[in-house]
Amino acid sequence: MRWKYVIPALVIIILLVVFNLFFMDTLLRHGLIAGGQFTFGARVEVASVKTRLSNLSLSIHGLAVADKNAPMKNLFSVETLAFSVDPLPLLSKKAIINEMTLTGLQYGTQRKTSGALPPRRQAKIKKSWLSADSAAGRLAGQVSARAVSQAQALPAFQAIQAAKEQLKTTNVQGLLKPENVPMLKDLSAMKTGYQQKASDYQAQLNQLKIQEALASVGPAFNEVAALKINNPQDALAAKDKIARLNQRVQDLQTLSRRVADLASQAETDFGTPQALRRRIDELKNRDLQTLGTLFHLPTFDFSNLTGLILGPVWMQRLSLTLDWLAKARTIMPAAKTKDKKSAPVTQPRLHGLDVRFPVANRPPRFWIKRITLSGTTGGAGKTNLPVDFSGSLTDLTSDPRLVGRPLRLDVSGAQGNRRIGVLAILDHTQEIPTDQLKIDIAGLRAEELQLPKSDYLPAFQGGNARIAAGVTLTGDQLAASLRLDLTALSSVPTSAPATRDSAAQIAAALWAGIDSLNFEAQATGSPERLNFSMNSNLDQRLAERLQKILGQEIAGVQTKLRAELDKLIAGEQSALLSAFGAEQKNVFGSLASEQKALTDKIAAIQALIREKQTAGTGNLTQPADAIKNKAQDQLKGLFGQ
Amino acid sequence: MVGLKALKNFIGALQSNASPYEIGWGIALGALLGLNPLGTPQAILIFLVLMATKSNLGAAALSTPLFAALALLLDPLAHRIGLALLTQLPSLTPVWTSAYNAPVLPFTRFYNTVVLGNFVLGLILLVPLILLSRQGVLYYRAHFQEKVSQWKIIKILNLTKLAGMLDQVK
Repeated sequence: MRWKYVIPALVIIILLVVFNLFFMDTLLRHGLIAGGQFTFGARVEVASVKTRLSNLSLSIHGLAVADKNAPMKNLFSVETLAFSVDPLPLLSKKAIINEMTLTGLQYGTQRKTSGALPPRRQAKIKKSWLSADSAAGRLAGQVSARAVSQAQALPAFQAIQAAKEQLKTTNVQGLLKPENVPMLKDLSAMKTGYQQKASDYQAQLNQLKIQEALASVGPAFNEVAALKINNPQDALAAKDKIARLNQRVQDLQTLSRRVADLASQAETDFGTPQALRRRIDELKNRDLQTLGTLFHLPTFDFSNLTGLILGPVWMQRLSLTLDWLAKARTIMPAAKTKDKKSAPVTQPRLHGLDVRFPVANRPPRFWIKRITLSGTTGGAGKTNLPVDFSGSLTDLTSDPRLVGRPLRLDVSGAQGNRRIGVLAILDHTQEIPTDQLKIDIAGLRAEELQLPKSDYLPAFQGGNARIAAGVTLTGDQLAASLRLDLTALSSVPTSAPATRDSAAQIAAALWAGIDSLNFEAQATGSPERLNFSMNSNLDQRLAERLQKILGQEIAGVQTKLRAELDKLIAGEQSALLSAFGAEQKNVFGSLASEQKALTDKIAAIQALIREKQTAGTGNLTQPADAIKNKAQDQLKGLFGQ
Repeated sequence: MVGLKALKNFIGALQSNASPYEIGWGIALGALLGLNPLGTPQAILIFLVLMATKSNLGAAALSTPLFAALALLLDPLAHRIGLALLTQLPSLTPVWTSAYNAPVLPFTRFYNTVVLGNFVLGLILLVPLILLSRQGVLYYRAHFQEKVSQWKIIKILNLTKLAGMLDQVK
């Protein structure tokens, strides 16, 4: 044995062990901080680290990870994190942890110092995380961009104030010009139309040549009137004349029907004065509407006002979730190809061949089989009532395909009416990864929802909120939903009445007395085509209230406008009504007069015919009766009676 | 420079009273080290054995690069041996499979035909090399040591402090 070599080697080994005993924890602590900062992009603090080589265990105390988006808050903090590494797989460069315990977990707690990293370090970390290039990362970017654009739409309240001011200063007279009132032309056209119609009816009446027809009946009438029927020969002669007169009567009756038809058509064409006034009102309303557009009378689409308020909040949370899912997919990549179990397989290399043998139960490079966790929703800087929760996370691994089971996070907690439940299943065992997240929270107060703060929104307080949210990401296809029910809400204006501007006052009036809301949102699609839909029961109520608020101003302008319009059209309207009355009277008068002449003539002829028929019948039956009587008398004498 | 130093140490060992077996072991272990890829567990193990035992380091320092260079020429042969052992002997497949699934053994890269072939070659050559080297040293000392010791270069080497120190170490 070469002791001169062996002894220094042993000394070096002993020194290394001693160094590890005294300094390894410190080195490990610095390593954890550096790795954590790289992962989370914000400051990471570790109070102490304790390692035990005997069982390869590690305990981390006082771990706090700052939130890169809110540097004065912690993303999460842990009181104690303890685990031991399986020694045998370490020899194959595989870190397998059977059980990890995580206690005192908190999130969103207040920090005393900023958790932001120096800008140069942040830039390095941004470059190193490639999640933005992944499908989930692109989705997160899209959602985040949409949240910003949604949030920018909120100042619509200022538009209400601008509209109110505009309504007060609107110069109706100056803008009301004949060229902006098309009904003036319409009224004129209607007047001409009625005159034309009257003229047409007169022409049609003339075409019937009624007076000529009446005149032509005269000779036949006189002939019949002069008839004296004393014997059958007279009757035979009168019969033809009466028949001819009857023919003329039928002609007159035909004419009478045509006049009646014309009268009926004229009634339809002219209509009633009431109908004409209705038509004038319609035209007036139409022009008022057009004038409203010209004067830019405000019209607001507040069909999704709640979406404008709650949408960005939801989208920001969704974006954050997707960002984390993108990171999870980077850390836990989905299976790409299946291992071929048939062996041996040779692979050519520069020197020789690598022969692959079947792998049985090969563990992944990194695998935490189970994390038992517990914590609270409360903590420093939080005003909410804390809820203690506990749960587990299983199968956190660098190679889910080898493990064959998805990562599963199941956390729940309850305290009184407050309840929290989170279930996440990240299945990266197949070629297309599927990530599911379900969150069910009940008993939240409105202020805990962290709704946006604005002069135009009330500070929602109290109440009882229930949130049911879900995200499913299959490959790059997103399906996310949210349902928020908020009841027993009290809305308090964010600023004192004196300091509020007019728009904020309008907003305060708009929100006053609203004590409940529900909101539903959905997001579906891929990074290239992302669809959002949001709706709420509140939108209709807010729209109605808005209408009420602006109603008086709008009504004032509209009354003024109507009065001015009435003045402007008064002449034309009067002329139209006069023309209508005159022409209608004219047409109907002519028609009635002609009809009367025809009816009278027909009646006279019919009376004459009846008279002649009666007279004729009487004269012819008297001689026959005399002969009959004479014959009876002669027969009586013949038989002696 | 390193090569010259190794040569100087080797000649120093031949000229000194160092045991022929130690020189033989040095050459054989150096050969085994040279035939294996650097950084693999087996190479580290051989190196530790070399350092911990009284094997002649000068001889090892010379044979290691010599056999590493020779390994390039032996690669086809080593590949054949490795391929035969890994794929053409079904009885050995369970052994290789177990080793492949074992914790540390895959780091030896035994599953590579050239690595396995060279390792086996090194093991095969180990004993013959020890014996041949011993015989060679004895033959050298009997027939050439005197003549070589007269060379100016050897005299210079013997005078140097470094040579003395090396002798002490050996």
